[in-house]
Amino acid sequence: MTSSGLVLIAGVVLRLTLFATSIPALLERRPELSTPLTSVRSLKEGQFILAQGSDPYAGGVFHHSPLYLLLPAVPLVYTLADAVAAATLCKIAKERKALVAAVYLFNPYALLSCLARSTTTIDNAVLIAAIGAAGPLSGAMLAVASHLSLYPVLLVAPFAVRSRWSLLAFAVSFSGMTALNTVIFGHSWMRASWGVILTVSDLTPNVGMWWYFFTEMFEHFRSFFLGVFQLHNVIYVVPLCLRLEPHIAILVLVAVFSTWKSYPTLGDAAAWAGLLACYPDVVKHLRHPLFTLTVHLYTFILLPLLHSLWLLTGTGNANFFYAATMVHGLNSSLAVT
Amino acid sequence: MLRRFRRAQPPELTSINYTPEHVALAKTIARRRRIVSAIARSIPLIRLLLVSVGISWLLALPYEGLWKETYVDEHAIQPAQVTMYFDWANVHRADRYLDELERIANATFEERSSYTASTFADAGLSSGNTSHATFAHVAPPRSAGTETILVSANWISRDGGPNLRGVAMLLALGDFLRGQNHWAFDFVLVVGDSYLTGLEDFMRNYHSLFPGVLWTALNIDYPGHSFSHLGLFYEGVNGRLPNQDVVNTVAHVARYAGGSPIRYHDVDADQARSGYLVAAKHLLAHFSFAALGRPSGAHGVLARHRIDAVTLYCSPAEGPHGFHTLGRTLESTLRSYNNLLERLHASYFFYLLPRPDRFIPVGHYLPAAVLLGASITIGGFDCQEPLAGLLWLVPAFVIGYIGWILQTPLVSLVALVLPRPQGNARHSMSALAHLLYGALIPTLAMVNFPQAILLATIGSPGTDIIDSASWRAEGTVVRDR
Repeated sequence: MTSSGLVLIAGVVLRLTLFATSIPALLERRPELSTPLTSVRSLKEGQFILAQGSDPYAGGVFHHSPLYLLLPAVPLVYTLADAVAAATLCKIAKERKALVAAVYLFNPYALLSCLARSTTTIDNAVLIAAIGAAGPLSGAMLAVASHLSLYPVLLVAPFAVRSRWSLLAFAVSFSGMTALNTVIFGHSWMRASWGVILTVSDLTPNVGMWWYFFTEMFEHFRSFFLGVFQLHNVIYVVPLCLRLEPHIAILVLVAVFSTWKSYPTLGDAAAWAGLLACYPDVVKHLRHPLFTLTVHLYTFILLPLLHSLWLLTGTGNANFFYAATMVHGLNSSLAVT
Repeated sequence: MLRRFRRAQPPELTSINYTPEHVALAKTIARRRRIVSAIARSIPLIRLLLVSVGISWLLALPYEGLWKETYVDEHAIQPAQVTMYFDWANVHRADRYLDELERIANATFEERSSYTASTFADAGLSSGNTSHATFAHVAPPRSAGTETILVSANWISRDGGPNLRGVAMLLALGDFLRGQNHWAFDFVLVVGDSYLTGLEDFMRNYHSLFPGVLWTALNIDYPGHSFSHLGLFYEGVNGRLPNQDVVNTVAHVARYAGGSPIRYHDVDADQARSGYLVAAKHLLAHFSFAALGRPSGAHGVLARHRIDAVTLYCSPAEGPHGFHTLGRTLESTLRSYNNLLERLHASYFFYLLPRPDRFIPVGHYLPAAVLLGASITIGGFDCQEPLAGLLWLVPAFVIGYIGWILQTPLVSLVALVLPRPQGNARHSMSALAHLLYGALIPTLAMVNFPQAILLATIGSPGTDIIDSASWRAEGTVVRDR
């Protein structure tokens, strides 16, 4: 058995053991790990409503992609998703595969969001699988990833540079899935899932910088800044594809949208940290690796602390948590540059 | 990480025909390398500098330039702006209650409890018992009953003696509040057994007894015959502080409505002595409670339930103050509490109090902890084998966790017999512990500054020369929090 195989098994065993404890129940509600779009609690709600024969998107609490309605939200699925992601990362990496797998599986961000059963874990697995696949299959996988969390759609350009067929496969499967969903659910799902990602109508606090910004925003500026914020994710696509090789462009784009997407979680950072580990020569050229890692340690303590100061002990306020998310966001941005 | 810079060799400028861009780049790299190595060489110096600035900052805290004058932030409170009705007739009642209490001072809790409960009932209040506390409920006619103010006096004073006058005061207060119609809050009066347990027990049962939300509370501690000063004790459990408005209100009311000078922690703030030493004494008293997470009075158990409260301690003396001063102070303070329309909420929870009427805002003391934390963090930057270090840290965390479950620090003695990391692994483990500790101290300082300073003083001096065993012990400290 190879060492990367051992790491995989260790990661899976660790997850299944921790799932047996009471820790997952504590993590499920953490705003750092799951947003309304990725929370397992709203996923179960949606599945329950569907099982009762109603439209889950009619009520305004369910924002997941329709594909998730089929997903059994049990620990084994999440554990497998992480294992698949780690195995794909091993395939992408050319050397030190075991280390890459370990960086992903034992990354506290990935581990915790898996335990919290945040669907970020599944999003990450599909995204990484798409990046690791070749030819038309990668396009089809990317279509699924885009369906789940929308932002991976930005990767179409570098994928197309990698293989023309993947573009075709993406177009076919993406429109196919969209059509199928529309036939089954009507139009309601689009506004409830993608619509919320694009218009940021749910302002539940998360580790991103959007919720506070748009809570404070005057209504008549809202659409302008919404455009600016969303465009900010898009503008990097063309220059990166022109300047860099496709696989590096993909890496940077994943970093870009996992930092600046409208509903980020800590788990999103795990996906790009895992990808980064596959390219040691990129790691070598990071500007401030030590500084960003240390600040990640700081924010990892600060985020829950200031959140509890705001909402539990009542000695702080929303600005406290926002300050922590700012530090986290700026630090992630610094890591990208 | 630093190794990376040491390894990267700049290209030889003379060997091959480089383009001007290459030369410029090579120069940049060489320059950067020089800067980095200069910084790397002077890391011990930088650390020393940060630590000394941090420590000087700490030593400067009792210096007046860092203080601000206290003010009441919540305008609704209007301290000492009301006509008071507590008068000598109420004092007389308190004296009669005291006579009775002195008679039963050595009786069992059941006997004392039945006396206090029946006295409250005689005053027209509904009263009852939990297993360790007696309580009475005042429901004024204009109160909706949705919010409640808690006033407590426990049988044992914070200096260990009986708190008979405190209980007598509370009984008189029950009688006094019953007759008035201008209150907007309900009152719950609690007489807890022993020092902390009674009130703690009552709080655990509170929501099965009363619907009202508790925002604010007062605890009365009157062990002596008379008192010369009112001592305010404000530290709650785990270093939680009440909103500073509560402290300021009581201080203001005591001075201008009650007529008694106040002290913090019963520390003498006599003007004649050096201001620096007086402030240092105040801060040390505060640190001695908060650094270990101990409450400074019985009000401390309320902090856990998010109730802003202080203990009024009547410093025993020959005079000149007694029930009259205390009663008027209590009444006027409760009237201020009574004005609140919402929970005290402004970010006024982070402060140090160097003497009455002055406070040190968070921005003036936090940098000390941040500097100490930064110094420790920098010490952890040279980490050659993070993985090996991480693996060696695992047993430390396991020991800490076991110690936390068993609630005893003795478990860390196990570290003495465990194998120790050698060479690079040891160095890396030490570096990671530095990083962790460096992150812990400034963040902890936000919620409990004294505790963060205590940990920094244990953790920072000479950390590089301490044997690895002590690192494991420190891992235990981290987890014991």
